[in-house]
Amino acid sequence: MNIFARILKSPQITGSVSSSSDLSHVTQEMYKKNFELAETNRTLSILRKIDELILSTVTNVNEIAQHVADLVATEAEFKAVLIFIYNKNTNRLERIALSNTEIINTIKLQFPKQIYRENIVIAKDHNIIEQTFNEKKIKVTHELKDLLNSELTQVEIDHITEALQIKSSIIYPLIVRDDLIGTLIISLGEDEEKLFDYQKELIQRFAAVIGIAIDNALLYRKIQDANEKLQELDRLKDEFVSLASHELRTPMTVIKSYLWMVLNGKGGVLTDKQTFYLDRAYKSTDRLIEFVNEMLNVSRIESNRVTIRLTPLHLDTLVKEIVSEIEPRALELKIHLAVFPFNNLPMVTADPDKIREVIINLLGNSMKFTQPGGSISISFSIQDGFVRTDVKDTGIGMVEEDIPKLFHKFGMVGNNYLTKTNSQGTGLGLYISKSIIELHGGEVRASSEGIAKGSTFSFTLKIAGNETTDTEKIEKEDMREDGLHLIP
Amino acid sequence: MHTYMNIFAEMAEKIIEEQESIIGPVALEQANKVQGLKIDWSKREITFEGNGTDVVERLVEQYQALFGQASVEACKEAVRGILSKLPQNQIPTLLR
Repeated sequence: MNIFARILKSPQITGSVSSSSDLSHVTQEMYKKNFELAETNRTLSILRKIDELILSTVTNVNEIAQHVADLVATEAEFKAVLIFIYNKNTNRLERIALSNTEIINTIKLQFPKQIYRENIVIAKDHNIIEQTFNEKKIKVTHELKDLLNSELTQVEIDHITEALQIKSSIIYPLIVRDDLIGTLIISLGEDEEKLFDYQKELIQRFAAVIGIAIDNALLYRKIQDANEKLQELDRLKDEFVSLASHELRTPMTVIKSYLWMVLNGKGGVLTDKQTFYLDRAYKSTDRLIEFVNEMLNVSRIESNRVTIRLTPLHLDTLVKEIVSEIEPRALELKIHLAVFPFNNLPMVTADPDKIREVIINLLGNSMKFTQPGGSISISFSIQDGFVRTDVKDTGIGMVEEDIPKLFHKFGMVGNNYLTKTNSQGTGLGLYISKSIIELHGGEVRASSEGIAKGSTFSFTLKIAGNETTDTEKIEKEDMREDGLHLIP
Repeated sequence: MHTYMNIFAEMAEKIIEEQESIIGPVALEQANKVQGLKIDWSKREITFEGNGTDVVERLVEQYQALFGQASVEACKEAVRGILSKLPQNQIPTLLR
């Protein structure tokens, strides 16, 4: 920067220009313009490098500040660059970067204590840096001692001043989105008054870009902290749900057991009314236990504690078994059940217990939403290395916008009397089924042609062929340890 | 003297680089006209024939003749960090 001052203001230059020919004068003026462009170019190049730092993978505030201070001091040939950030908790400006130039490092070795100030208490210290911060105005000092450690002796200050050859320091408040985040100090080897307007402008651009770089890093730190807190809260929530569910299940089990004993005459003969009331209580207890079990399952799914034991499985055989189990109930509801056979259906790789749960859930749903006289059919097909199973009913159907809600937790759809009357579910069954199928690497889908036009629920499972047929045992959690997870 | 030839070569390189950033390829063109200076810019190889101080002085004069004192200041700026490696009597006059 000082070179340009010399170029334009030196009497030698003025003298030589006036005595040159017109062409020489023009050439020299063009040279000066070129020089100005070259300086601007250099500044833009430095600003681009700062931008690269902002966009880099470095996210630590102190690291970014140090990189920026080093870059600006070295490339722009400033004597020193210091960055302070404001700590709201301590109401202090804390120095986070001091450029590592050769001369500063040499002086650091000579002095055991810090050369520059490290902390400035706002409102207690009437230092020029504090004033810059409080007034949000750019300030200049020609006294290096304003920036140096107040514990240094005058002799030490003089020595440092002599060694660093700093003539002036410009102090900038770092303001981003009207928020004061700190200060930037740039020390020059000349008086700042000798800088041209365009040079001052360029230095101010440094201040603006450095402010953005620091602000970005601070924001990233806040997001990281918030993320860690959220993860911890999520973990605590999962723990709570799991604990609460376990604690609820035990007394529920006891209640159900005693109700069963009374209903089965263990406490004596009951009147019809007593039987009716106790039967209602028993069924409600049953539903509550089912809900608690499902909450536990959800808790396990969300904390990645669900494990699957993969084994080759005849899916059509499993479906037929389940259908024959629920057929009496279907007959009661006057719903026709049918399984369409598939010749030589390939085996799939799956956990039989988990897939049983999925099929029961899908059939149970269809039965809930199919009127008497309706039908439910199960069919199979092959699709890109997967066996697809379709459970199709002639029930109440759905509108398209409701379909995405189905697989969310508590995602029951429909707002009509029939839905509310028949829907005795927890709203977790489809979410759990989807999670189980996805653990197997498959997909679950739902479709309907509209209200009163029935629905189709499908899931896919990988064909067991080229995959290993060895059972993959990880760690099995017995979901029926209490014997109360009844199949509806 | 011989031990300073590397320093003179470094000075010449810095000066040409600085001038190149200001006036572009003209900088190299002018440098190639300097007597005693042999340049292979693609390899950044600079060799001297004769006294290093005199050759660098001629290089600075070459720019001064065309662009005036401004270019001399630019040369001084370019070699600011290197001058301390030379004894005072070896520093070209224009760069003092």
